[in-house]
Amino acid sequence: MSSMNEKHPKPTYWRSLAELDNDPKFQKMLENEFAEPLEGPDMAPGTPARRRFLQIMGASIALSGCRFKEDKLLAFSRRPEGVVPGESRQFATAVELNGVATGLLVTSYDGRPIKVTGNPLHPTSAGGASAFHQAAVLSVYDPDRSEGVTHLEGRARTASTRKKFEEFLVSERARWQANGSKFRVLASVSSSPSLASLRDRLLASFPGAKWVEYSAVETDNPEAGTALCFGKQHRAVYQLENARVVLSVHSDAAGATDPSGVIASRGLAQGRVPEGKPMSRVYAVESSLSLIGGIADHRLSMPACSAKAFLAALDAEVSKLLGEAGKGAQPVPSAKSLQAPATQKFIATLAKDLVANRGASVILAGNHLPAEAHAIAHRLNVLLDGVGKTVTYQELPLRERRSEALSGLLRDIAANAVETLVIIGENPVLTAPSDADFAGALSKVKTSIALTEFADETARLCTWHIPQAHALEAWGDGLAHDGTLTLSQPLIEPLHGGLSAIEFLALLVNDIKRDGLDIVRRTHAALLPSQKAWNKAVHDGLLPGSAPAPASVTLATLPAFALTESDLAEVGATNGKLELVLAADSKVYDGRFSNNAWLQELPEPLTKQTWGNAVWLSPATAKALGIGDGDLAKVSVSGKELTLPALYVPGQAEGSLRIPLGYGRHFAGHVGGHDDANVTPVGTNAYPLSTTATPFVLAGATIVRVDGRQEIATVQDLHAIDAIGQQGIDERRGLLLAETTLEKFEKEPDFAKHLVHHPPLESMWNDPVAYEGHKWGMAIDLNKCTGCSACITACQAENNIPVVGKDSVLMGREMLWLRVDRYFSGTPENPKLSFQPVPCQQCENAPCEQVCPVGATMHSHEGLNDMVYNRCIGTRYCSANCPYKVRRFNYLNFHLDKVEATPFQSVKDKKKLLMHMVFNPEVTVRARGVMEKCTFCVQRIQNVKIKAKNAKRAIADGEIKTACQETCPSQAISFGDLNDPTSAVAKDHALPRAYTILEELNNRPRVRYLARIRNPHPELG
Amino acid sequence: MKLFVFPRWANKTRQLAGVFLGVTPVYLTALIWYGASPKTTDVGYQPKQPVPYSHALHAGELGIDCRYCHNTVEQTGHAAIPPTETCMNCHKLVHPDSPKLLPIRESYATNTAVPWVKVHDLPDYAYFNHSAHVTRGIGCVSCHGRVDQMEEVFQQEPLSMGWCLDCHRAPENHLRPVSEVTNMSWKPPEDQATYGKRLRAENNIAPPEDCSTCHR
Repeated sequence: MSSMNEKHPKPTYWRSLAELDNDPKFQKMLENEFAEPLEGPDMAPGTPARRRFLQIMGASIALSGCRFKEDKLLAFSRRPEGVVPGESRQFATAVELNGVATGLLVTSYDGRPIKVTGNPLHPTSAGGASAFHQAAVLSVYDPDRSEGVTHLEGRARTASTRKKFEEFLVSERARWQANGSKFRVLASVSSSPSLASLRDRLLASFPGAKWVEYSAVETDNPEAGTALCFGKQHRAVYQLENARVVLSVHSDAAGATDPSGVIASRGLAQGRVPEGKPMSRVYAVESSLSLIGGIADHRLSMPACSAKAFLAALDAEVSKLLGEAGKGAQPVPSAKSLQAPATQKFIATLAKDLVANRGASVILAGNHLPAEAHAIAHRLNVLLDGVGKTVTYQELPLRERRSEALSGLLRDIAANAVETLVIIGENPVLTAPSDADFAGALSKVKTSIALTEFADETARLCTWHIPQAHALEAWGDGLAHDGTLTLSQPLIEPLHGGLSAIEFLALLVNDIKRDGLDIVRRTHAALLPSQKAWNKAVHDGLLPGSAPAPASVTLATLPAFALTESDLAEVGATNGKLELVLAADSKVYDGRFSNNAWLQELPEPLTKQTWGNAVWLSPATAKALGIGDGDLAKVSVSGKELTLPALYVPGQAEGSLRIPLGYGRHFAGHVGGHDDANVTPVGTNAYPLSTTATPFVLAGATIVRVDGRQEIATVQDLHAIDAIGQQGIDERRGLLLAETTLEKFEKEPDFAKHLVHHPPLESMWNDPVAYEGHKWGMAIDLNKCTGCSACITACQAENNIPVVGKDSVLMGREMLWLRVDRYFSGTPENPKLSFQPVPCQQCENAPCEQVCPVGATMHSHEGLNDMVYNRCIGTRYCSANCPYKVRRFNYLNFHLDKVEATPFQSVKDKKKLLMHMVFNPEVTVRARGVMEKCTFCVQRIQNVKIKAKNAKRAIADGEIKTACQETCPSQAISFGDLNDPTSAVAKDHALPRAYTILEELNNRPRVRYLARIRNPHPELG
Repeated sequence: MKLFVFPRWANKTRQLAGVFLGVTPVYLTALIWYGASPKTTDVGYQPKQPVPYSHALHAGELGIDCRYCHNTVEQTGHAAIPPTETCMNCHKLVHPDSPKLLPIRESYATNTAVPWVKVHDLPDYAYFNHSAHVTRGIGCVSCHGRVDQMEEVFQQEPLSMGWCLDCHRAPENHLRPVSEVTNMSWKPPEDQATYGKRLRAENNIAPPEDCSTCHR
């Protein structure tokens, strides 16, 4: 290790700690590019050996003859109006997460939803969509979803029917109507007006019944903070595009876990354009890296428990500057954690910057922070004149705090005051804090009814389990983040006869309207009286202008917050006082997506971990405690323990631990883990550490190393090349990723073009193509990219990219065509983060094409590197010769093994057929032994070209969108025809800060990056 | 014990083996080349259809335009098989009780599909688009043959990649006015090659030969 270090000086930019320290694991990655074991089986467990495979294939051919199997053409008996067989159509719908509905456009192919993208008309989406949204289509076809009503009789769970359940309701309903005081509903947080009206009907017809809103990972602290600050509950709606100074305090507002993360990313990105208008400055104070922390110009690592003290100190500083001293959150004791000179300077400079940009500054506080912290943030937003500019407030009806409602429910159950509990769309047995003992509580309830998509931890304990329809299978409504009425329509009939929440409630209360469509229409009869108005709203997916007007707010004098001991705690690795932050995961959220293989395989944007979670800790903390990266560690807090692998995460605050929630599920399914199917849970369940009092930020944690290690399937070090290559990477790192400060950029706008000096570039070959027609190109703005990775899942959905599983990821066989490289610079304690999405660069002088012995990768006349799967014999020379490492090889029949399809056999198994339905028929499903890579979504290019030619018109700029570009929440990607100088991509390519990577190799890539420009405060440097 | 002596003819084994080794690979190559080529395996493929629908009668004798039934051919990739409804447009009145049309009436009554068997079956990795061809002036007959003379449809052309490329490289051999694409008996007013070249220039027809034109 030391000798390697001598050979290669420590790089300025590093992709992972393993690389920074040059540890042996990384060395192994370097030496073995294709990550293949040199000896022994090269198969994934449970798959037939290669010879056996050939035998089977041979036999199939012999039996079936040379023709493909006979195909049937099953035409409609009556073709519905507007349907053209084989032509995809898009429908507007919406998916709700935690009370915010995001409008989506879903592509339907012959009646099957196969692809999701954002609805450009919708205020929460503006055309973008997160990885959660992208992966929704896979969940629709999840073969593990419940297929029918089940009933627990005695101890045995038996299959039942909807009819039997309805009969059961008939007898029960009369009792509830007579006295509903022992009737409780626990339901997801929802903004659906139809659900609200049915809730009111239920509460009215079952007198005494109670409704508990439940969210496993989101608190209602932001709203409670507004109540402290303004006297009434409000919802804050941020307009980040108007902000010139953004401060994020432990906020993950741009992440997928934030229900309005898509529009927040868009707003943030709009301020990050260094050309023309003034660029925004982003500050982040946080315990763990977040997406906002990634794009921040200044970032301060700070434990979550210090947030309140930090905000109070900032409030004091800002108040002082504004002459409002003494009216803020006081008294302000000097928390020791804030006394470092650097922190003091940070606060002082930040306060000055905020005040200097009054009316254009905004403060975002993390959802898990206490209500008082939110109150200070809201107060500052008002003081800084942000109301109406960077934030607006909408008044909300007064509601019981969620945590109190849950405690109340549990108290009632313990006092035998609950006979019937209805659970809608939630999994509290998994997600409720362990001291709540929800499973125990459930056993005391005589009748429990769960409406859930899966027979999950909760549903399997309930006396009745009714399958829930997926959001893409049901009519519904909801409100956007700004309150705009959003409508959702089904893309497909419920595959397993599921009911949506509103249909289920209508059944419970014996409503005269039972059908989702009728219920939603009834709710909005006043707003959308005519069929025409209704059709338009369904078509658009929303009713424009239906957002409530902003309320005017007046600051109440904040009560004096006592900063408790825990707020002032000095968290540190050395003093043994650690804090633990439990947070929603950016891939499985609260665990509800843990059976979604696309999300499980998606590299976590910051840690690049796939298939599982780990306890995040800073390298300094870990080293002080003697814990190695990947070592098993035992985390203890308030008497509870959990053993899971430790993961070094640069930028993690010292003494602060973080565990993503939602993993370690025992009854998720064949992907996320299922005890009955002998599928080991993916990751470790951290909910048992959470308590009702402090669900997400826990003080007094300890962590110790225990024997053993667990491999963490991270992808950042994959596709590294050998030692000489590594030396090359080290030298070029700063050239791959061009970044500078705004000040330097303004002096030298084309700095990125001068990073590399090379002799005149001459090719050995004559240019084969003149590119007279179209010339496709892409530009990726590194200044806008937040690294959120929605593009990766969009690409996976569009291009039928297989999921390989944890074992194969560990072997380096991940298949994702688009990778988002993560670079750190600076120190591991407080690193700067940069992301660089790397698709195939579609080189004009492509190294891959020159080495393919069978012509399986060919240059098209429009400059695409076409990949011809049928010609590929799997030499992998192209991948070896690709300097960008964007080619992926099918080591196994990843798709076909899973769905048991061969070209010669029809699939009979219903569940396997279900898994076929998600495939995009416009893209070939690749088999074992062929190379594949990003195609610039050539299927989309071809389809638009044909459409335009048929109509004898030119292709408009922006008409062809690649899947990654289309979904990008921050619109960092542009794509189009470089031969058209007015196209967005041509303009981006012509920008001074546009550059290509590895230009000196004369590959002439068609992807240009726009250099990252940071905007540091002059005083903070 | 009697020694075993090879018979005299065994001396020829070496020569025979030489001939065998020389001929066999050639024979096998030729066998597979021709035997497994689309010309052999696919041309003439004529599966039995659930309903004895006669294109010769409908398209030929009655002169119904191809697009009356295959009405999506100009807008989209598929020249879709018509819905049962299209059959019933006429057959409600024409031969309403014919036993041959029983599957059609059943399909119409029960709202289920008639299980037609696919004749022209391209591999799943080849993406052919009808609209791109008929709107440029490639007639139906160029690929499907004289369907108007077929009692039961069979495959006339090999539909192999080489066959596709022959036309993409020299489309003038098949181009006709767009108005005549469904005319099965259309004859060029002059020599096809000259006429095709003129049409090609007029309509700016440049068929791409890139791999990604058909394979995605």
